[in-house]
Amino acid sequence: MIDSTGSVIYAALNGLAARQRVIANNVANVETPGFIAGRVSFEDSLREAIAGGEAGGTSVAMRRSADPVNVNGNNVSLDNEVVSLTQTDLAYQFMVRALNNKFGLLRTAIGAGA
Amino acid sequence: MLFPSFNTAASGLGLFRTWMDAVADNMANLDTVRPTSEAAFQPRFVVANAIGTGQEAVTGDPAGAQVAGISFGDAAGRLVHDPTHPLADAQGMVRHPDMDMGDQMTQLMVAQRGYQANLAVIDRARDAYQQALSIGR
Repeated sequence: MIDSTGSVIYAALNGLAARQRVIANNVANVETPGFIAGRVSFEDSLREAIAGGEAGGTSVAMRRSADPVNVNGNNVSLDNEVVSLTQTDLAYQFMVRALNNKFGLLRTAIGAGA
Repeated sequence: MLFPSFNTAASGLGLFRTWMDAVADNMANLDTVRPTSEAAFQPRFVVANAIGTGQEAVTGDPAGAQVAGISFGDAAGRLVHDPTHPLADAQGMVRHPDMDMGDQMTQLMVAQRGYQANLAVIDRARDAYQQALSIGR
């Protein structure tokens, strides 16, 4: 993806999109007996990948929430999910803006901005 | 799938819609009386389960919740002494459904809140997808 900045942003967008999908799945299963909420992590992997100079190697992993379960074995907390969804959305918008700024730089370099 | 979060939230909408339908049917039959020779009206309860293992959501494959089946309330119902009722038997008994209005109202609220939560997810997902569509503009 163009260069290292682009790869980092792309990896972050991928991770955030996966997190959004998992939150959507958690909310859909808010009343499913025995359902354990999923949590997506990619930031640590991304940090290591950046340190290694290759952001394309970022892995997106899902683990199960360790929160206590209620009487029907479900541990989805709707308020937690909404907070997490808001954070994810804002981070996603932020990364889109960063990517667009990157493209703006490239456009200037190409001469379209002259 | 192009916009997987929509499908996931839609599966939740379908589940909770079915749940609300079941409650509406139960409530409509709250006072349905049967003769003792027949089974009482049995309230319907929606049984939910998750689609897949949950890993599907990470990769964007179909995920969400679905109606696994319907379970029914007690067919024996409640026997009520009502000798003037046209369906009453020789002992003056009729069969009422074994159903509680408070319980059904609670079910209705749970289903309604679940439906609203999935609608909120659709709203947020649309914002994020719109942002994604603006990349490179």
